[in-house]
Amino acid sequence: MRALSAVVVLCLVTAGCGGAPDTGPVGASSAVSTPPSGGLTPTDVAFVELAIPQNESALAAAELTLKRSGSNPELVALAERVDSGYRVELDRLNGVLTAAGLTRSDQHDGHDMPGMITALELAALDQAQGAAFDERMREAFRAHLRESLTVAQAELSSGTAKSVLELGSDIERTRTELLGRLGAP
Amino acid sequence: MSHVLPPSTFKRWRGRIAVLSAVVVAGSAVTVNAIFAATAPPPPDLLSKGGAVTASSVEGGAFAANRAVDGDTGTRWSSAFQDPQWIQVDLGSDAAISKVVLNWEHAHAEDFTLQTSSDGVRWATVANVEDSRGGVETLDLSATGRYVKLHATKRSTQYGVSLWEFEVYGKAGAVSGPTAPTAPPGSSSTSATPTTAAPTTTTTTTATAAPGTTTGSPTTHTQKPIPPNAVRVAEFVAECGFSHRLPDDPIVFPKLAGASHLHTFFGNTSTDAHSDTDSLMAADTKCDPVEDKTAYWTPTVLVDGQPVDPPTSTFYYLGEGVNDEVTKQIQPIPVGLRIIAGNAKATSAEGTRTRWDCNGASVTPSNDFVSCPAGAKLQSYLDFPQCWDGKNLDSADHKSHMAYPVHPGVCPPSHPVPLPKIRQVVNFPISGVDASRITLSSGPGYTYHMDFMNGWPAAEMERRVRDCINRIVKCGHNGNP
Repeated sequence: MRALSAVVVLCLVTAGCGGAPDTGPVGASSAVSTPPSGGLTPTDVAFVELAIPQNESALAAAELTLKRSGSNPELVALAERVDSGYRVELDRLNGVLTAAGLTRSDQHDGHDMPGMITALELAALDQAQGAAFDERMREAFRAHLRESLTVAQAELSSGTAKSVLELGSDIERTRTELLGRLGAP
Repeated sequence: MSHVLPPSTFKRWRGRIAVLSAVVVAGSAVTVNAIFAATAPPPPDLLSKGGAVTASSVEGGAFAANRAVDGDTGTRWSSAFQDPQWIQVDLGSDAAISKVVLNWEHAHAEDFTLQTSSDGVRWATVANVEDSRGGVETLDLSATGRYVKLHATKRSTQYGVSLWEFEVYGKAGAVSGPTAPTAPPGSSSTSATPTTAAPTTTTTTTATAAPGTTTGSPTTHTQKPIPPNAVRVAEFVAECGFSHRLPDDPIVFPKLAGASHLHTFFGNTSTDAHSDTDSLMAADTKCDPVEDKTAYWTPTVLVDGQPVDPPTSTFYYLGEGVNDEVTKQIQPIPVGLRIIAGNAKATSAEGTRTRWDCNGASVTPSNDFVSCPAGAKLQSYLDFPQCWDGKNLDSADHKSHMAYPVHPGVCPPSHPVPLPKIRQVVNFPISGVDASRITLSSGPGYTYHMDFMNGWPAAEMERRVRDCINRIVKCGHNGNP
């Protein structure tokens, strides 16, 4: 045993004996990388995992808008579009992950990211009244829609999987349309 | 009786040691000498006398390493009082080495190896000795190399290891064929040289001609000796200036430009959503040393909602966080590795390892922002996880391929490969600002995080880990002690 430990020590000094245990593939190239994800590239997965909480946060904002009486009709119409359309999108987004054998990561839940209308922001919004509420909610939707559009376009230019590209294309189209409804800030 | 065996074939040879030893003991010196008389080559030259010598340590000024090659058996090298220790002599050029004579002081090495090298970087183990009794020990070799190193792994006494003389014999320049070490890993020789008799010595041992495994390092640099005044802290460093800001994150949102909150990028000047190892290596850097092409980034720090002036950052690559034995085994950070430190999703100050304090004023450190008085700068500290799973350069959550060490300063079985610990220290030009006015693009101060996408060329990383971390020496920006 003693000679073996001597050999191990030598490996340390000379930094690189091939036979030392547990040294792993040091210096390995990018052959080892993120595990494959059922036909989805890391970009596809990142897009889906970001779009899900973005949609969920916008759904919560839509629910708050619909709950508040006195919201203006245009804002209510937008909230209704979001409420129905985003639920369908969420089913498709989750379906893509399931089909790829992935479970949904919660890495962005509660994450203060662009395009997310956070719980903190919603609580603050809920304090606003009348026209102030409408204006702040429109601004929150606008920020969300712009970021959602940006990310969908990034997926369309860099993504790979057909199912995810189709989602990206639909998201690009609907966000453009909803931004048009909101009008210029 | 000393045991000598080729290190790469230890198990197979164990059974043959007894046979070899029996021959030595049973055979008469006359017979052995007679065999050699017929073919005896001209006597070898003493090549080591006055050669450049380096050693792992010295006990004190009277016991300098060069005392072991000064030809004076009244002076000696003596090491510090701990294992392991080494001494190395430079023969000046490649030589055919036929014999090493070790004239031990009473405090000798019980277990040691001899290694040779042509470049001082790649070493071949040519002898492996157990249970030495010290005295004057002759090791017959058939090796080549310019450098000869004795690596002592076990002391015979509570003191260090000490040599009156360390003599290397052979023929300078008489090197035919490839120089040591060139044997492929796992190769072994079965041509153990016969034992010579050395009647005047207390111990006669035989080494084989088998080179050990090559060490596989592709670099050609010469390992710098450790200066006597070196600080014995395992560390090398990179200082990396601010480069740019972008709402990109090539780890969490690869190729999704604009998907992230605003990030402040340090070091590599090209980092964006599309960055990968190749693109980083081809780009410029704001780091000193310029070899470090790593992309480092944090959420952007805002005062009253506006990004502040460029911060400065220092990245310490440290051997600490694990015990010394593990430090000596720390491996180079692999090419392509991605690591995230801190917690972008922390919902309270308890949820992060980030520490905020002031550079230039004494305040109680906090996991959230602190108010620094005028003249002092807001400063963040954050240590990266340093235990790697040995397989994945990234993971789905970008965290689970890395782990922090566990008690008693070791890497857990799930993440067995120790890497240098990266400690980031970032100074923000924020002085005299109340903490309530400071936010991050990711939220409160406790959501601070630092991302790392390795851009060190493999050879530079390997050299620094070997010379600074494994040897436990503080190195400068150039990676030298």
